[in-house]
Amino acid sequence: MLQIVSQTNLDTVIFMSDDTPMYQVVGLNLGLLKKKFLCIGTEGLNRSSKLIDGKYYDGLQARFTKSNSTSYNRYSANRTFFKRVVKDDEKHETMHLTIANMYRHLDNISIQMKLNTPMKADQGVISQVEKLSSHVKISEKMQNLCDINLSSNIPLINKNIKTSEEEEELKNTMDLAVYKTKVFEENYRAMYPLLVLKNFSGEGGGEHLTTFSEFERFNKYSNMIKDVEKPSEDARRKFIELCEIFRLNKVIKNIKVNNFEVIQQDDYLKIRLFGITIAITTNLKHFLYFDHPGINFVADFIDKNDMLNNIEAKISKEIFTRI
Amino acid sequence: MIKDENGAIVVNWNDMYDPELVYSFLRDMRYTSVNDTHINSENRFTTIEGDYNSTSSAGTGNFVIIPNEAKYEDKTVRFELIKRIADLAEFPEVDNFLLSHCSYIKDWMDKNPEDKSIELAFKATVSRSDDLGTVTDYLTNVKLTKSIFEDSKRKLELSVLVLAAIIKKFYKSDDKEFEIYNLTTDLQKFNSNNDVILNIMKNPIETLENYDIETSDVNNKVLSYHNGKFSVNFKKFRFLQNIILITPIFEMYRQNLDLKFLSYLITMKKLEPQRSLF
Repeated sequence: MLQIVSQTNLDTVIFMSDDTPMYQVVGLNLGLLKKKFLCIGTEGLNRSSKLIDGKYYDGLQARFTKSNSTSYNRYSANRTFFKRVVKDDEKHETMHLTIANMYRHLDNISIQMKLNTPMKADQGVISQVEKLSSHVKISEKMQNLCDINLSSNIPLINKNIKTSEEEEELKNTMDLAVYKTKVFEENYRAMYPLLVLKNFSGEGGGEHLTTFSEFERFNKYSNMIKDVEKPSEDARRKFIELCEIFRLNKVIKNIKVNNFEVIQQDDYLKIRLFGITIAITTNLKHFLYFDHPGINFVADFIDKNDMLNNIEAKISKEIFTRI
Repeated sequence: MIKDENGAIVVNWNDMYDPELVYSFLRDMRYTSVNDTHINSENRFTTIEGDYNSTSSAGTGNFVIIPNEAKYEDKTVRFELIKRIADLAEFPEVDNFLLSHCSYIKDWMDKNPEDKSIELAFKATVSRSDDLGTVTDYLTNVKLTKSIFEDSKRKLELSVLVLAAIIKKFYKSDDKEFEIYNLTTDLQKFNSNNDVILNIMKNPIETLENYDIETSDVNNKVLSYHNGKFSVNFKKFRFLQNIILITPIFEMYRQNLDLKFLSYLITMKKLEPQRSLF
């Protein structure tokens, strides 16, 4: 719930209860920024509790102040920094939203959402990963979920806006940012199986870095993610053979097709899906018989999406154009 | 080593396992330019015809001393013992272990009959620059390897090596065949725990279920990708100096009874009393 606490030509104070979706808060911030109302950081942000319609809501009270600067390049007058942290005790998740201008002017706004995930994936996710391998035990350590850190820069205020088309374009940019925030906020849990599979790659790192656009691409497949299972023997063999060809090639070091990426370095091959590292390995052939949950996942995903031909074609094209 | 009536050097094959006689052979060969050799397998000796010149150490010639075992090459004696196993039927305990507890390896062998054949190789090079202690160690290992390859009483030790070679071939973390290096210490403990090993092969779960595989770290590899660099910590599992598996995610293999079994054998000496074979 959003509620205006006070409003003048120079100052707007807004209460946002903790149950207010992040995308609404993003929309509010961008709308105010467009009118040059800036949040001045911690001084303008206070935890608060408010009685609304006979019910108390915990939340954040934020003050947005109209910038009186006439120049877009004056750092001190054009600094905005908004931060909101919402904790979900029941799901053991904490979402951090930061909206700030990274540079000295307002035409480049950074929106960052960082999700502190639960320490471990829930049983539903674990069961799905378990089904991918008859040989690998999903130990406690492998059930960990890393945090997700997602950020994007958006061009918000163009000082040269003069025409209605430019105005419309700006509105679209803002709407798109709000929409992508909403997509992430409502669907990020679909990524949890992949975060568990990341544990089987051996790549460390405390968080998964991504962008709003990358997440949106992932989300188009999120329904399919649930249906991924152990691949057929044929699908697994074709996928592994393709990866082996790539691992041994001397011409190209990496290739990206749709959301699948393979990177070769020294004798190693790194396999990524939606920007998440699924496997790093020297010898793939034993995974024809020993179930690597991540490789099985990618093999079935590629098979179910009929992507294998595209990948083969891209690899062939890249190799032929470079030799 | 003696010289016959024509001045040719006659090498009794048994002399090639005596460190001092091998030294003496290498010294003589330094001054000999070899013209021809004759192998007498029946009586187990090799005759080397050549020109001996004690004022010049520029002896030449490479030749076989003992077929499939030792040759003279580049002024050294090179031992090479190879045991090829084409069929696991000779090793039912290995076959049963894989069938019952490592179905993935069994599947691989069944679907790739060409991979069923394995090779165990022992290699050692003795040169005049080695000290007597080193040469003695080499020759002890040659004799030990020969006895494991040939003596039916040492079948279990051979079975362990066969199993290890299969496991190495399955994971294929490097392209090398299974090589036998210094076996003396390890085989002493295998031999003294014959019954224990056989029992674990038959029923590994009881002993190995809660056993944790011992690995060593490989230097962190820094891999780069399009938006930065990252470091990956690879773990290495070795058995008798052979690299069996290198992986950044050993956790995934920790339940594998094949690896647990080999690791247990390595750490066994800490648990079991030993008695000398020699």
